[in-house]
Amino acid sequence: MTEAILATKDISFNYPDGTKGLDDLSLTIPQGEKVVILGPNGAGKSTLFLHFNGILEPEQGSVFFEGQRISYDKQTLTNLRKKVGLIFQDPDEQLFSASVYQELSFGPLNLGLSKAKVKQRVIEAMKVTGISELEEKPTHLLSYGQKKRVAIAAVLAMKPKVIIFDEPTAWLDPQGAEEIISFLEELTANGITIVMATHDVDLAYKWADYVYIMNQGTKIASGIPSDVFQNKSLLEKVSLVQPLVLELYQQLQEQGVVKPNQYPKTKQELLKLIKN
Amino acid sequence: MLIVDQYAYSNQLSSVHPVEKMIFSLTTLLIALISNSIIVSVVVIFVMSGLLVLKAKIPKLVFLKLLLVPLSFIIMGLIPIIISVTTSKHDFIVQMSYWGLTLGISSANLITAVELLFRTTASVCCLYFLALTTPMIEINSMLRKLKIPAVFIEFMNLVYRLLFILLDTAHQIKVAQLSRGGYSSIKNTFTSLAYLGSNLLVKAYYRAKKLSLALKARGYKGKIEVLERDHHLSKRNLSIIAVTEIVLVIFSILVEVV
Repeated sequence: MTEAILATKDISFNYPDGTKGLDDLSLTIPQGEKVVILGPNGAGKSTLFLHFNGILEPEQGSVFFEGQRISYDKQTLTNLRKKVGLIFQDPDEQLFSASVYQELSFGPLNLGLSKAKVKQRVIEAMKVTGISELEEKPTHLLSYGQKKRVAIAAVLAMKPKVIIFDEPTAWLDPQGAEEIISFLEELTANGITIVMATHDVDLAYKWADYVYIMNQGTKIASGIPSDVFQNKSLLEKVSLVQPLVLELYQQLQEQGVVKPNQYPKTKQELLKLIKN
Repeated sequence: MLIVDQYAYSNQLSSVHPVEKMIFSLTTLLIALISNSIIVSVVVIFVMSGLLVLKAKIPKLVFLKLLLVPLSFIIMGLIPIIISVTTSKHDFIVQMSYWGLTLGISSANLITAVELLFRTTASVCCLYFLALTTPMIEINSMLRKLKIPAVFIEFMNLVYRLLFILLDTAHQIKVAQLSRGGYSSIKNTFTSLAYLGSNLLVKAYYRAKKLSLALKARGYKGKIEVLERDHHLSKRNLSIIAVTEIVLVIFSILVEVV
């Protein structure tokens, strides 16, 4: 495993209304990797994400960024929020401005960059997310998928090292989801670490380098996808199912159709194994 | 006024510099207000509605409907000016007397009312010109350039954005209620509406809280700073505006003198 860019050590957090958020959670996010966090609703994924960005402070334990323990003073937090970008599930929660252009300029301006630099970043972020033609449009007239892209661009314009996505494919049509995933692929190619919460086990299995499974505020499993998703009873405990490709592969392997220990990631890879 | 908002973004004059539109609309408004002549008001009404319908391509019917909204208020306001109630005798054009009180319309008041009607309609047309051709975002950025305190502008910006979220939320709640039999009788219309009202407030509050979280995540430190888009003033447009305004001023002076 490469060096950890983000890590939590024994963090616990409870909400004021008594809801348990996190319970003694320790995990590490390796630099440059694609990490998926799975778990049922209320498992604490979103709470964890708010800790990564310093918005919530753990009651016990500590959060580390690039090996440094996060202290909660203004300077450190500003620096942390510059490096760790958070993309919320509902873009309407994130977009505060009626103008796409203004929305995108907000983050970089908070970093204290010059206007010329900010402008350059805004244009660049619009270009990579494919929303340049939306520049003139008000955010309230955009479709859900377009809003999602604007929300992503708004974080990208800050050039973070880590981007945290809370269910990026939720409520998107299959094509929109596919586009977002291949876009994430581009981001990792540029060395950005990505952490994603999702309920989609097939996506997690296909896409992730590393998987964490959370339940009731704590980690119950972790490892590379082909290992984690073999544990059927554990998955059932958190009401998850095995990825379809993996399940089929295991069945076929038991029947001697395919060779063991090859773990296809996609349907195509599985079909290829069957053919051989 | 969501229709106004949509046309503000989609009209054919939306790419024209907001300052040009603002100067044009506000100076014309000033002339319309200062001038006492009905002819000037009529000219302003024609110029503004002509520009809106022919240049900005706002559909005629939409514009007429929009005009009816303030017009109904104006006409209501004119009634007390037209009709006088006195106990003494006057030279009214039309009059009715009851128990010593005389209700009547005098020619002087009628003229004042008609003048007022035209003048206010002209003013409304000027403001509609600005509202229908200039998106709120750009009006906001102009205010910023005019050095209006940042607090007001941030406030306007957020209110504008949140207004749509609020309307959206209200719509979602209403659809959810309708699909489960809400608003089916007079009685449950009231209860449904009460639920909508009270829950909208709670939801709006949580929305606002979440928004502030999202702002914090991007480094919000108490001040919302955003970048304005660059606009270039067109000399051609500015000269056309200047000529139009000068002609209007000369015209209104001539009407006054003659």
